[in-house]
Amino acid sequence: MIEVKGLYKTYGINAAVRNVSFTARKGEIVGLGGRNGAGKSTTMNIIAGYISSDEGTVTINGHDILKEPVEAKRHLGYMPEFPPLYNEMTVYKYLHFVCQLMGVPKNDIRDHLKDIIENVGLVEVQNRLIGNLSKGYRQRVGIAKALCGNPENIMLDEPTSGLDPKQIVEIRALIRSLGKKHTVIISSHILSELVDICTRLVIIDRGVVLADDTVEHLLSPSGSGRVLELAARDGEDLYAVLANIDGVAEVKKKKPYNGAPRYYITIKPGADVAETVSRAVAQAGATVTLLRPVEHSLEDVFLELTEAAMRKEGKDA
Amino acid sequence: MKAIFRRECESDFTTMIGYIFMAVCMLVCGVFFTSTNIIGGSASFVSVVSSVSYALILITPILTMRSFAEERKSKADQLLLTAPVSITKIVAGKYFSALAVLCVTLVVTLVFPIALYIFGNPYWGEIVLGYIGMALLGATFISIGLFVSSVTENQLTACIVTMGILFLLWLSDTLIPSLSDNTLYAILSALSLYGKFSSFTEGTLNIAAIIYFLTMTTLFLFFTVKAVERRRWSKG
Repeated sequence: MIEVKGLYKTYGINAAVRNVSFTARKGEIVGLGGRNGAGKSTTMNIIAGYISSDEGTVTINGHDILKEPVEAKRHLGYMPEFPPLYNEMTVYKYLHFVCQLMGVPKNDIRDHLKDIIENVGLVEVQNRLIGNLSKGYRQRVGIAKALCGNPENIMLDEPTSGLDPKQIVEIRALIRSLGKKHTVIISSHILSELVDICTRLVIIDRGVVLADDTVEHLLSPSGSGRVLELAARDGEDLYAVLANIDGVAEVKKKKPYNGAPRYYITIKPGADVAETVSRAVAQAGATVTLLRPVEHSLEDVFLELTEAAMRKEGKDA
Repeated sequence: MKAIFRRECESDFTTMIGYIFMAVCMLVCGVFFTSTNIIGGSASFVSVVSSVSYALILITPILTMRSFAEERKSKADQLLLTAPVSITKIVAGKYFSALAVLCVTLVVTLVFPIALYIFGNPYWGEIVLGYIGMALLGATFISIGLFVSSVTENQLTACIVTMGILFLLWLSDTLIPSLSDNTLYAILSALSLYGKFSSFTEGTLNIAAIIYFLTMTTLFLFFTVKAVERRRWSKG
């Protein structure tokens, strides 16, 4: 389990991380999502003990990263954004070295490495020099490095960066399987990837946690209200008609769809208004040309959250 | 620490660093051995020991420049600094690997005194003391080099700065006799590495000099540990 409480980190006058707190429990795959430069890698580097925070604490399996660094690091396998590799070493020797650093008993290293190398797909290149490997293979070596020593907690910064589509599918499957036995934290600026792999998401923007929730809840209609998209031609302006329907929380006018006026209808939780809406539209003398639920993507959630955060900051200022 | 020591040693010999270090050391030894002992017909090994001690100013930085600076630049330091190993052990592993390369080199140069023994009648006490002196001086130079490498991010900068510091230390020795200011005289005399080293070439086993070198080495290794720790708190 990894517990992060109230992390602050500033570089000069720029705050890279501001009051970041979250917990990753066993069996969870927590995704740190956000734009490039949002503070994801800084947060991960603080958790891994590579850099220190100005304030806040990180505990890994109950061990504080500052007070008991060696014990805390023993329970964490970390792959940074740019895997720390030695170009003059072969893949096998490098991973062997990492196993020694992680304290794997000498007699177990061979079998342990065999499993890791097979799981991560490094069998063909295990005796090649790291300096001669492609970006995708280097990334795999980085992931293998994080698995050495079978730590309870695994943290991967942009794990699929630089991989080809087949490798991405394989690595995502690997991370999902890791999530069953370990605590996994991954970061990515590709939000759809996080939705695909993670059970919980921590959305960070400009160093601040905007959301910390399960993927289902973040994407669920009840989160910010299910939305219906309606386009209807002919007839009068439907704004007032739609707004008066029971179960409708809000109506927004949008750009016309094929020349027909278009509306976004936000529905109150638990309400089902599709039939009522189509009847009301017919009674108003209009013809429905489009009626469909608006898919709520994580990108939409992210934009909503960042806009809300900016509005709040604007008000506070 | 053992794993880091072994990796660093292997790295020194899979890259050219270790070989360059050994080759330059052998070359200097060979040149002075030829001129003093073979052409000059002397059985004294002191001039070879002195010349190697000066050559160490130029070649020790090659051995230490990469240790922290290069890893920091390539971010490979994230491997060691996020592994369950204390910084003291990381520094010790890197230090002892460089020291091992130095010791292996010194052992290889034993071929010259052995040749002296076969064809002449050398004074072994002088040779043994010379080697102890070279090892201690090199050990101190390595700790200074490691410290410089830990505070820089570019191996070339680390190399030049280390060379500069070692050169200044040597230069200060030549200034000491002509100093009239007592305070400056005392400070430079205390810092004088070659002043302490000269006791070994003069054929005396100076315990104070041994303690001096060991203390300087420990001090710079301590500084290195603190410099690496300090990076974590960097605001840059």
